[in-house]
Amino acid sequence: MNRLQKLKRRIIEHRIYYLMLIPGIVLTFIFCYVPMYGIVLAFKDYSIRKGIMGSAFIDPLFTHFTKLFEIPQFWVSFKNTILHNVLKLIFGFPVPIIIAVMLNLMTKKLLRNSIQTILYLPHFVSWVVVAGIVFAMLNDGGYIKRLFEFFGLGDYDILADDNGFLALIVVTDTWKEAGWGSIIYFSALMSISGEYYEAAKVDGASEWKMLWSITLPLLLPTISIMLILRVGEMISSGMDQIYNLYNEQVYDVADNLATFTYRYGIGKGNFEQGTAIGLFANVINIILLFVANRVTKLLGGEALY
Amino acid sequence: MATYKMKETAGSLIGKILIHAFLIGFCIVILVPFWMVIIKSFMSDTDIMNHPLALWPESFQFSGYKTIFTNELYSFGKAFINSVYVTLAGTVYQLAITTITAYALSKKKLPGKSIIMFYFLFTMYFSGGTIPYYLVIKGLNLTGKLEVMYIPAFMGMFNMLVMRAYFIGLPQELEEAARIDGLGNFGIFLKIVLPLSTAILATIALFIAVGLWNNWYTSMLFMLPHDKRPMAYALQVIIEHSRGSSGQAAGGVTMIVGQSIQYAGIVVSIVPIMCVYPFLQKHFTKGVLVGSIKG
Repeated sequence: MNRLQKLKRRIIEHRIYYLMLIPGIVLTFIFCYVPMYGIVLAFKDYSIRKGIMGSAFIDPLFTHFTKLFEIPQFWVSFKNTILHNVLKLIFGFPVPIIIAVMLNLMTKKLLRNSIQTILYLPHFVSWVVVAGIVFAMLNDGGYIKRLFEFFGLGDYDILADDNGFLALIVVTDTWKEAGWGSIIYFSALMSISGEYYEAAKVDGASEWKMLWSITLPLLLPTISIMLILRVGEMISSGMDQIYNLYNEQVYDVADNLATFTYRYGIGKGNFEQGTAIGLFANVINIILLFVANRVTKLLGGEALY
Repeated sequence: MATYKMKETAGSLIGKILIHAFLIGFCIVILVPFWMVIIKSFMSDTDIMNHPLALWPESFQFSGYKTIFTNELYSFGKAFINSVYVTLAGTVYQLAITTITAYALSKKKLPGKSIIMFYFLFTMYFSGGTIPYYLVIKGLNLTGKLEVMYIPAFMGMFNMLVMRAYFIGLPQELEEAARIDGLGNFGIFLKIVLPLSTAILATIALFIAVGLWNNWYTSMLFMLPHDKRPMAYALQVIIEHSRGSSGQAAGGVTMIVGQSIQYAGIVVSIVPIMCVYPFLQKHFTKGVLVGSIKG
């Protein structure tokens, strides 16, 4: 009885906070949870007149999924989504870490701050602008086009070449986000006590040794968490970058789930199948997250749960 | 603390040179493309063709800018106003909701806090997908209206978590002292916490504003009519058609766009961000720092 009364009293004392939470809760319900209900669309025979609730379930239930899985371009886009993310993980993920470590080794604060200011810049610009800049550089007269011509590759259209486009995706993504991504690692490095390095220096350790034995191990928890978060957004990411850079000639390697859903699900009005793609992607996403979490725990790093 | 001084051995010196070379090189690779686009936006198309590697225009031409703002096809002037409206209204709206939600959730003893947190965090990992979202917006009659650019974007979970971490980090004594002075919960929030939080509020406001300013996908998805487009979308259309290829599902307009127009468009869309950015850079490094350590 006493505990219940205590609880009641606490609730009344905190009543203003519940008031403060109302907008967030209501809006989250409308814009996040109601669409979740819309997932049933993937199992229904949608008629615009009847709406989602009124439309009947399709028989057999998984018709939209089976029809979806028969479309080759779906699997191509799924394969590409994974491909893009794996490439970015291998080539792009280490770069912010390297940048942070290097920044940490710089002693001149003013120079370091100026460099950081410039490094964060591309993050604040949209992919539309970045695509515009990329096209400008590849135009006749652009610096990159000139570079290609210098190496005798004047006729090479990187935007139409499968492998070239993949390289372009990774490079532009790194260019845009590596600087900003280094903030988290840099702040983690800042919190490492200087005493470790002092002690190591007394013991005669070289710069390299200090890097491998002190810096990187202490950075491991941050790296693990960032890795898990990165894997968690694998499936859903990529509309912005790909849509602005791709074209029909590279659909084979460029088209990802997001762009495919937009063209096929929305553009062609295949609402049910488009919803099925979304559900599929979500499930894969959650699985990937659990796997990544497990793996990091096993390897000794920290995990999110 | 952690920036220890290196011994000036030969190895360290080479290391230092390499590090500086790499970082400064990276900075150059970032700045040069922007510079090129800015410079070429002040040149006419013929000038660009004749002097493709120019680092400074022979004479400043404004034809690109003139066309963008006056030509009906691009209607950049209206798009600019639309973007300003969306960004201002949306930032205030999203900042307010994020702040009060984050503050309420920062109260340790709030009954039911974990359930509410789960309610919010779950949306980070699971969502209905684009199409159900589209249908909800349609059901709310927001398609075709400029408000669709910010009303559904009421709060970013990441921003909320960062702010919440900040509020948690504020010393307890502050609240206790204020209570002794007779302030109630809301009074504490308004008169003590908010004034102390200007740095984090500015940081989050910047993040929100940039997101709103750069957003083009929402307007494309909900097919905003020509006069209701934000600048990001107007620019997206221009860039997309500069390539001569159209992947737009909603059907595209074929137009050949001159280079100076493209560059002028790019410059106009990044100028507002570039103006605000240097001043706030100090604040947001700290903000992300706090969020990451506590979060």
